[in-house]
Amino acid sequence: MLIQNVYINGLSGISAQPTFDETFLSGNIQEPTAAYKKGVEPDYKQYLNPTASRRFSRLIKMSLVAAQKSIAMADGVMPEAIITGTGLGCLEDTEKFLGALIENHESMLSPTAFIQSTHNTISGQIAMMITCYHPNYTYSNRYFSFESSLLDGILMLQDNSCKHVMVNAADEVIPSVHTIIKRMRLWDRSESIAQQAGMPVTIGEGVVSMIISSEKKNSSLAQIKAYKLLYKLPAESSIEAQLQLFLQEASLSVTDIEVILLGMNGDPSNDCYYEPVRTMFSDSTQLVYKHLFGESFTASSFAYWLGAQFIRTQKIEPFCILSDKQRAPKHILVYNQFRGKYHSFCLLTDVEV
Amino acid sequence: MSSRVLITGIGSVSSIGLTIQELTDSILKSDSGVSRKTRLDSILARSLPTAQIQLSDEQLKSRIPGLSCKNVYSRTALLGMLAASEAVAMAGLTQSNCKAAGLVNSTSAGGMDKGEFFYADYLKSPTKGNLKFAQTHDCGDAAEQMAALLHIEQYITTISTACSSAANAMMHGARLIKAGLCDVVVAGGSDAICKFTINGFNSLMILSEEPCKPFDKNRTGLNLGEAAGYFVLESEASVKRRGAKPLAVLSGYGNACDAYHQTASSPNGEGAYLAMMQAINVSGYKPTEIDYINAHGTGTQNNDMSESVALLRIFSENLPPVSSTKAMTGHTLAAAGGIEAVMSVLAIQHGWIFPNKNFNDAIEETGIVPVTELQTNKTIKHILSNSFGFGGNNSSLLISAC
Repeated sequence: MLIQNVYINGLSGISAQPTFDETFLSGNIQEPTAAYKKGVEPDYKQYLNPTASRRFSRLIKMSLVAAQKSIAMADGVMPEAIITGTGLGCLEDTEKFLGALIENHESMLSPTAFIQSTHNTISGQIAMMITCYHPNYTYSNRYFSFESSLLDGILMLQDNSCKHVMVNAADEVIPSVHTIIKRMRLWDRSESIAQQAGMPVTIGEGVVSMIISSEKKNSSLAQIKAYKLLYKLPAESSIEAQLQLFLQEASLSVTDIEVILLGMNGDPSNDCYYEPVRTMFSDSTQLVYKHLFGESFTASSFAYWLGAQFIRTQKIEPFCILSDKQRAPKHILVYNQFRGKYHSFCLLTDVEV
Repeated sequence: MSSRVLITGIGSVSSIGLTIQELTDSILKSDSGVSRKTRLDSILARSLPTAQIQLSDEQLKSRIPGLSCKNVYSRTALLGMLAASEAVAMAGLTQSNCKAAGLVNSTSAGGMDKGEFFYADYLKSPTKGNLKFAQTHDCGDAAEQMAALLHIEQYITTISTACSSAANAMMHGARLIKAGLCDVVVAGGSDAICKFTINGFNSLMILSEEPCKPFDKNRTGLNLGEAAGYFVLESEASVKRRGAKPLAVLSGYGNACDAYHQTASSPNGEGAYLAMMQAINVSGYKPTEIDYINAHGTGTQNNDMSESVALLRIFSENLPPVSSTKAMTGHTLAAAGGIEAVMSVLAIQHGWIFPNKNFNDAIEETGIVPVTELQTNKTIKHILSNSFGFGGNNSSLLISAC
């Protein structure tokens, strides 16, 4: 889908890297000491009242703080829709309620954990924090959780029902889920991304909050020019053909893409699907990020954070480089997929393009 | 780019019918699925009335041709597959229509029924628990299973906004069609009863020990139910191309946030008011053209009061006939908006207004008296169908005759 006038006007992220204070962009890279890529949490006291801090899980707190920052960056606009994508939802509260239910044999249960366990808690709490009566959505569908949220936000801007939409991604890791994911051999693996030395990809967590608007501002970070989601490739097609078509619609060719941000995660059964794309974009600088941020159902949201920041600063963080063509990032293609399914392409460009 | 979003197929599974035909028969008899019979192995489900589908997972599975016997399917996925395949069959979609279609699913519990089993074993030892059960836990699993069964390949997603989920799924589907991204979208919601939800609602002290009495002065809470309700939404161009016969039009929709409390609705029904107004405004019809309102009407003190206030703010003395069908189906959470919209299509087709069972006395402050007996031979052109949920998620659909 070719997109007119969708600008990223607010953007914040809390992740395993110092993205919230943005020192990551000046080379402050963290090697987390936890067994997974645990979020570097902000000082909640500065943003939330003490009652909220006590009552809410880490995921809700991270989401509320990130939302505050992205709104502030967008000059304090009231979003006309709040849309959050979360793959696994509020795990801490879910486990708390489920554990109590099993241990107490369905009796004497306090409702607090149940209330905060539902997936829509995050969007709902953000709306309450800023008293936002506008449309409120929560998507939860594996590797399209964030992508569907962004798609719906773009559709709302394109049909002129909104001028500013908040789109969020949020997922947390709790120790039991880390253990279960390891047993599934899903995201927590010892393999590293090809050519990136000694950085195996593990499960990661964090939140991203962005304000997308149909209004361009001096402070706009980047714009979204084209976007496509494809659950499965049609049998008669190939990923190269789909990407060609995607670029053609935007009147661009492969060589116009200076930078490509790939969702490789070190798992050979997943990364093999990126190989044809790497070959196709051999003249582009190729970047990866999941060795720094970890893998999750919404890990791709960090690619949008990185892409928009690289366009804004016109500087690329060396730790993300898989192969460097020394090209100034004006057109960044974000591509994510998981084991041949859930393909998402997004063309991020400089605001002036 | 904007054109009408047509409904060309419906499908539903609930405690009052495993097919649209069975649902129709139950409506004509004003049957209720609320009872003390339980299939769910839960202490609470044995002591409180619920509206369960009295078939085991294996029995549900045997009704769906083409499922792998090795795979574990959550009950939510099984209910969704049954209802969505009925909708697809009714619309007459071919496999190639489906390949290019989108699926917008919705659920609140997802595979929690299997997750509970897994976690009980896991608590004994972190090396225990069948991973096949854990893999169905997340909300996206049901959508993947349904897409595989229906051969949907282009786009799948899942919405989870508690009790307004299915209505929101229809809205996302409508936007995909209006933007020209999909010609055909299968949209709806599914939720199976599990220990987690029944215990959660019980901890909130909003489950009734009696069959629920929506909009009654002496209402004592809601009865949980399980169901799935699905639609085939289609662009006008695709309907014309396929020569399909539309059943109804999704003419309006609204989503608003109450921004009041994580589980309670505001006293002035702000979110409900905004959602209904938006649905009416999107449709371009006037409030006076609405022939019937299928209310959310759960039977809790809080919802029915808040919804009544919102209804009166919009319609004041011109309130069209109102009823809640939850005394028939129970409150089926994410599926509620789906099955109630399915019933709205039936109301248009057959000229029906559904009974609000168990109602005796009006709420004093609002005085709303819902329809209590099935009415037939009515001319029903426009129905407002409400679905309100936790987290202030309020949604309203306007379904119209073609």
